[in-house]
Amino acid sequence: MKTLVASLADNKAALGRRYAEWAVSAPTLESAVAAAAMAQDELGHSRSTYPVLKGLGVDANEDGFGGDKRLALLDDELPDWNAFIAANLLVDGVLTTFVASCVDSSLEPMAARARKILQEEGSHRAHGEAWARRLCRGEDRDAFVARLRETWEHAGRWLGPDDDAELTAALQTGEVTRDGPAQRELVRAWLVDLLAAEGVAIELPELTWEGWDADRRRWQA
Amino acid sequence: MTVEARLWEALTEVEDPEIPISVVHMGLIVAISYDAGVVDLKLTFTAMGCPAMDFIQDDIRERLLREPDVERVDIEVVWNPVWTRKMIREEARGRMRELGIVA
Repeated sequence: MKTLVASLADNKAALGRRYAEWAVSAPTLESAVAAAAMAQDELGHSRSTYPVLKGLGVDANEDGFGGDKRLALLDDELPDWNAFIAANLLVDGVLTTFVASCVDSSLEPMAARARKILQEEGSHRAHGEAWARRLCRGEDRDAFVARLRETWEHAGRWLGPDDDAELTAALQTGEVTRDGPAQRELVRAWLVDLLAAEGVAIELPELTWEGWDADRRRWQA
Repeated sequence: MTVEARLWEALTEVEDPEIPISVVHMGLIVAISYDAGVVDLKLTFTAMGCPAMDFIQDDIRERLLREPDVERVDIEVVWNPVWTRKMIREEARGRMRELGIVA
């Protein structure tokens, strides 16, 4: 569970930074404000998660933002608005699905934070879904779908292979209540249904595990 | 009046820096206990990314240390229970409406 929690916190810190970079350049003023608000939420979730690590005996910097267990996708700025929304849907989506599996966690400090994080993530999901519908109806549709496929390569792998040792152990001890394959399928099915409602069929890439770094929970193409 | 009751009363003088409503009326104070000069206070925030976290904790500590029986204030930030608008005290809602804030 230590690597999962560390990577959750590091990814939320990185996602907050990537969201913040769009707070002055989103396509609408409302979305620029939303990007800033979501960035603030993510940084708050990250900062609030590092003390959980400390409780697990990991020497974590409570101010966070220094960890390197983040998706390679978040190493650099999100290159365009399609990539932003793809991250909003899939990176935020995978991390939030994991947090949802911690609501009844035997790791009490994680359970105590999970409900608050889920409360705040509701608006992130609404933002991502609204923009997904909009992009599917516009001329950027194909480029958006391509970004979703690219983003899935990273976000979909965060949960690790089906027999991921860390998640399997966490499931056995009750630290999470849903296994990795089930979490991944929830996100995949939600995205496919979301796009299907707009008449867009998306086939997400099959995930293979060459290039998977279990210690940092990231995949490098 | 118990010491704890007096501490709750004192904190009605500490306002949220973003809204002129006390931290008590905003429902941010989850619990206060007192023993031999030490206050243990559980505090929550409206949002995990609240930018005023440090200011609010400083203001709470500073106000409680002005009470005659208080030598130390230990603050623990908690996220359970999850803060919702329902935790805003009824007497604060009128003031918030006057300020144009939906409560």
